[in-house]
Amino acid sequence: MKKMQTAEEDIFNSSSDVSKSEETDSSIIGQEAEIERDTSTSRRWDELPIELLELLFSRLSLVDCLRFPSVCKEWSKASSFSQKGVIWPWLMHLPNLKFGSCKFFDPFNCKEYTLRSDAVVGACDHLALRFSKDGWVVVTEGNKKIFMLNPFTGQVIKLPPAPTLPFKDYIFDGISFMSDPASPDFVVYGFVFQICGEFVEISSWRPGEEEWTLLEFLPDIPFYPTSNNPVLFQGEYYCLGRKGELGVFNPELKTWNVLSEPEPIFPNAPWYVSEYSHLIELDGDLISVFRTDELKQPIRVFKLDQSKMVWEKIEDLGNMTLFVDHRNSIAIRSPDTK
Amino acid sequence: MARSSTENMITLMSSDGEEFMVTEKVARECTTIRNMLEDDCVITNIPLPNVTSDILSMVIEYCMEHVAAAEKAAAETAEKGSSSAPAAAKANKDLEEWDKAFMNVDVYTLCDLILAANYLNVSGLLDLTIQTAANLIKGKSPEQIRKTFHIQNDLSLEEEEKIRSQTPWAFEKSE
Repeated sequence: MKKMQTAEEDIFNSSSDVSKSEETDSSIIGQEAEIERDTSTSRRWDELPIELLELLFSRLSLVDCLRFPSVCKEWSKASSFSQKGVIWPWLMHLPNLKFGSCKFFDPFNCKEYTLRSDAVVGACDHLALRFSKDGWVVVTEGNKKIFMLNPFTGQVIKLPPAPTLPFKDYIFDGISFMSDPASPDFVVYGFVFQICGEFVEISSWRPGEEEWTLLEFLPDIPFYPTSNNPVLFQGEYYCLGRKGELGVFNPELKTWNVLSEPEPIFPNAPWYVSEYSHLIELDGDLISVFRTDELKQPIRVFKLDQSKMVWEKIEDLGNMTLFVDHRNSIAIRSPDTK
Repeated sequence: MARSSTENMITLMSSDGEEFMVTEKVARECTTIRNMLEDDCVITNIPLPNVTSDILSMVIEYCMEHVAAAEKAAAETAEKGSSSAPAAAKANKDLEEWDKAFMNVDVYTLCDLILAANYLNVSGLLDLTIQTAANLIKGKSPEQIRKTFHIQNDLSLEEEEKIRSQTPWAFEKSE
């Protein structure tokens, strides 16, 4: 019978070279370990049972979680993000600017992730998250400073200070960008609507430019926008008005039009209601969501019938889920019905 | 390590037939064995067909160290009435250092230890080994992860592209 002492000696001999572990964490283990052990009977990492892979996944940081599924088939099955091919939207907020924490809440897995970003450390003014697409977030600091941040890679793109208008502190009522920042077609558009609705100013910026290029429009029809960012739809930017009308900016032709159709859903509502309503692109359709709190009415959802150009009230979204926010709204297809 | 002669000894047998004699207290660190002992208190010989001798000896070593640390802390508390905070903090730190050194193993051993810790249900060891694996993944690209863990990429180009295309921004920096 082998006595435990013997076993202990074996172990202490084999793991005696521990002086290397002075690095900050135990990440030096692995290839550098000098233990000679017959590993022919060892299990392989891609053969770990799924519950252990899931446990491992649960310990990873956000970026590691995103990379984990592309290692191999077994690992891709264990990562809840890629399950059923859907990445749910996350709610991002900035709870601690001193340490540069960016927090992300995954509503379906009820999990919160923290990333540190140098770009938000020690901001002296109020930071607001204005727009997000493809992993990038447009952030404003105070009234003028604007930058784009990719919290996953830490990349930052500084935009020129926003143009000022004599009658406004901040700047853009809506902001959006086209294509990926790495693409040559990349453009950022900032929208300003004069408070009484008679004046529209649209600024554009491309990488390398030192300031925004302004386009001014004095349309015949006043337009009172909701707080939702313009939505890129079929190559044009659609803005939702508070009565349900649509304003369209064509970046190619550089034109602004308030469409005569669809007709407003709430033609007689005062201009100050429905500020927090939403416009969303959903599978090639435009969806509007009205939270007419002041009118004491429930939330109502409409789909634009593009052949008749009318808003049709819908009661059922099918297998879609809408995520709405004052500025950004998105639609995601439910994974179970894909 | 001093042991009282009254302590029950349990024999654990590895998959390759080696026998390890341990105190019942050490064996009870493995929840799986504790449950067996509670079901059948006269059992003294436990075969463990899923654990090889080299891995089993490591698991036992881990359990012995943690039992010894807990006994030491309990003895100090009994002696002084209450354990002094600095001493307890130092003991914790020593045990953490020990754990860290214990994790100086290759990835094959680490994988076997994870499986053994899971099978024997040693929660502290499972926690330690999983965290060690998570640290190894940290900040690496998928290619580097495969290299570290000796994993063959069995995803087709299309499958890999599909996974990456969901969050292309997460790959930009390290690829």
